[in-house]
Amino acid sequence: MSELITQEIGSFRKPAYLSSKFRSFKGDEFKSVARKATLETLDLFEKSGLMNVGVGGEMYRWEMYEHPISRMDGVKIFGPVRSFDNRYYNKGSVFDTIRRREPFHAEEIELFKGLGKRNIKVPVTGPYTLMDWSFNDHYSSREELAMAFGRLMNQEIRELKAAWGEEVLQIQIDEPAATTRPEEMGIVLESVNESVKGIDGVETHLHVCYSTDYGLLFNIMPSLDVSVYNLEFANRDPVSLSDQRKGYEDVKRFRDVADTMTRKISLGLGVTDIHRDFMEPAELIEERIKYALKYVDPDRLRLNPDCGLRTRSREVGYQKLKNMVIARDRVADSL
Amino acid sequence: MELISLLYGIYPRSETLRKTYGRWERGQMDANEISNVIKDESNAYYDLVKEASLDYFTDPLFNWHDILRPIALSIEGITLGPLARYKATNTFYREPEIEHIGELGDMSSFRVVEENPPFPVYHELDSQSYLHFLPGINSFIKMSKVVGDVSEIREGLKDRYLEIIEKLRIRKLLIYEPFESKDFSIYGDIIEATATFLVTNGNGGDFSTIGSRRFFSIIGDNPYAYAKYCEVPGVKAVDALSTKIGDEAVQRLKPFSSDFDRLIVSNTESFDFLPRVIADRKVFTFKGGA
Repeated sequence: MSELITQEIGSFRKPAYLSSKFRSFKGDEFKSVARKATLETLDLFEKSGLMNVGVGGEMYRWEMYEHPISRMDGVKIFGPVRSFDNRYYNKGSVFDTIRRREPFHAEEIELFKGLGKRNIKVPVTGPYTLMDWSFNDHYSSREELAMAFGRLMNQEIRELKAAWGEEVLQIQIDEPAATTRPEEMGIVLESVNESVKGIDGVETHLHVCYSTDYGLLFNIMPSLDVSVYNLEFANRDPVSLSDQRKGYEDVKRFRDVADTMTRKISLGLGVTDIHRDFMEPAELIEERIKYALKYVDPDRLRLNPDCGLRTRSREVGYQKLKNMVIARDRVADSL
Repeated sequence: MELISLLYGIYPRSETLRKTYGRWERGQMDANEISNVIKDESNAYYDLVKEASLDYFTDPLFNWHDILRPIALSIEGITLGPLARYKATNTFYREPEIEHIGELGDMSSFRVVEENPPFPVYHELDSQSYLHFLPGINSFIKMSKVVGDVSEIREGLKDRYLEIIEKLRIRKLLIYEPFESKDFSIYGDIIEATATFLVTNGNGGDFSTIGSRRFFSIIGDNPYAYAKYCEVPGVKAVDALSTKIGDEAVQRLKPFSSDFDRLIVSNTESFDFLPRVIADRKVFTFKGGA
């Protein structure tokens, strides 16, 4: 079954027994608790009918930026800076040449390989976003730092692939900052390509969300070594039933560029909003899928939430995935 | 050349304050309690800037979730929209939606407001060095979704700012325009009402429309462009987007030393973009000491 594959994006709300003590667990105790949370989340994903289970909700990671940054030399975290309101993230200061001190995601690959799960997708934080979210107190330019992060991510992905074995491994490069600065799209292009350069047997996804102009991304698609673009759309779409899906108009622009390429690329369509508890009924999700199918063939269309579901409770997150699967099955039956 | 130091904008919250806000958001603390913590934290900030011998500093704005929020919440006709990215940063603010500029609400009493920690808007210090802070009118409009008539809204905001100056008896005011502005004529009445420091972005803009009136200070990147429109020009020099601690401010000002008798040296952006531990060290670097 390769039409309308359902997938999640990455994060899922951690159970309280993990999140409340995340930073205080030590060594083996952490591994055991993170494993337990991953298995429980995996169970939820499978119960929802999800076809690709990611890495079980990123239970080993506190958040997407700090996780890799805190495993590098040459970067120091002095403390949190504000993201919005009273929400903060630990922003690293690059003060020296960066080096990977330890692998970022080896434990997840080992776990899933051991479980015999093949339908996984490993999210990794993209080099441009790592650069954009860091203080650069060492490299001579933003480009130089992004490329340095690109080389580190290449090392990481190469090792993940080696640990995974012969089968194709899906890697999702998360680049929420990708379209923040239109003048730096060239840096996005070069640093993302650097991350996967020379690595065979990987299906590369790129996740971008909350962009004010996907056109910037679409423009560089022909030169990006990426096969699947997992994008947010639901957040910008009204929730009323209508065949005019305003939030999905960029799907046509995606198709227009994809049609110019000899290499086939796919679209991961964000069909549920992760910023709200509002439960999109399956009918609404069906309409969104059908709208996208006007422009993208079903074997080139995958379905996912807009972004990681960590912002929602586990119950809401589960139901959103479930409704997505119900909608997908209805549409698939009608094809 | 005499250097005059100025720290403006939102100062980063301490761990204590962040955790306190977390408890308050979860309903584990009432508004009075958090208000007392904000007051204590503000006092600690005033002790710090005095210790650093800063000549001027704004309110730390510890209960401002972003540089527009408390003002947007104080003026009838403005509502809060979705989160929007602040310039090319990873920091977001709630985009105001301006339909019209109505009445000004109470800013100086304790009161609970939606979507922001409780008021008062400022935690004033009775000091010649203390500056009230207001977001620039041009940037306010640029950062908002404006439904009504832009020129009426611009005028309306100016009138509300004049009302704020009168009601709070503001003696010194800092206006921050984070986005490049071309026309500063809107500030003509404001600079007559109080001593005004204007922090700008870019190389200047047109100040000739303010006529013979002068700002107390205009702080930007190129003092030659605006020196004649203020008493003391200034330069943004202490980098709020780098954790390096050094004498960058002094180096940045060196080229101007032979052309100006007095120069204000300020931060480049709110220190809220820095971890608190770095901000607490940078306040000692405005005149070169690291």
